[in-house]
Amino acid sequence: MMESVPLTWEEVARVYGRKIYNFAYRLTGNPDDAADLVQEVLLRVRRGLASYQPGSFEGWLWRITRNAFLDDVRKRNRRPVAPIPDEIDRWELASTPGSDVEYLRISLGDDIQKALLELPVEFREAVVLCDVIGLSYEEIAVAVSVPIGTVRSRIHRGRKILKELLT
Amino acid sequence: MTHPTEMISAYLDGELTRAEVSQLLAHMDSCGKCVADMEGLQKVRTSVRSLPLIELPPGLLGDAEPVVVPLRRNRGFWVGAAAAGVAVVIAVATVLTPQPTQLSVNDLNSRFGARVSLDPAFGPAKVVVPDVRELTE
Repeated sequence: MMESVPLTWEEVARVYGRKIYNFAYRLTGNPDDAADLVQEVLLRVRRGLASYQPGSFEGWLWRITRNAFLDDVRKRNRRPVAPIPDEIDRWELASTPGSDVEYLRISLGDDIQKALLELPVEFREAVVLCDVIGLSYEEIAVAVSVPIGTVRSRIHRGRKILKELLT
Repeated sequence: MTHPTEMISAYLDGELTRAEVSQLLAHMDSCGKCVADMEGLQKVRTSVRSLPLIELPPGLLGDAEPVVVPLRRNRGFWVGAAAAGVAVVIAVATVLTPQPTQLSVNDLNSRFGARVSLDPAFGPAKVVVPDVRELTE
């Protein structure tokens, strides 16, 4: 997919920052890790834009994002990513206006988020790229560097595991 | 029986070729297990897609204020649903197409009348059907 390329990393941050954060949040289940990942991705985008060759910009961006995530996982010596806490610290949340609404919004998806974190990383990233970010199988194949058939298999197997975990 | 299970998720995402859709639907006509699998996978897919959007922590992007864009592009199931809808419309149109049999004027009028009444489902195209009674007089 040919796209116009944002001129600066600030543009990338403005347009894709929220998407990258949600991708990172759903992969890590942790707001701090997600924030760190966003900053790492934007750093890599900043460095990479100078040599970027026009093509599939989103494919390139998501490739950088998932590589940053995998590097982080490796850096943690293959420890499983931290699960989200059972109970968000309501005292901390209570100090910010509108926090009850935000707590409710996040907790509504708790079971699904926990189940996502149970998935093997390659299934999790495929499901999140498809169902949270909305990429096509072809775009996911570019981002993850696997054939489309593998993307199809990973998404299906990921959803099957989620089905077992959620019933 | 071999179940084309991996096709089910791809079908829900609108990622199957027309031939694969036919193959899957033909299989599901006689396989309750795959029908049940599809229902379960559809629920999972909907659940993940309904996860709430997490807003960016304030200040994370520095001076770059985020642009509010839809998190997820509209695609997937509705692409498949639209394709299925088109298939249904084509099937209905095929059934309603007059066959070369001897019909009375009243039969013709009622048949064409029925097609005209279905036209809104086919979109804005105008279909002018002459009154068969006038043509035969």
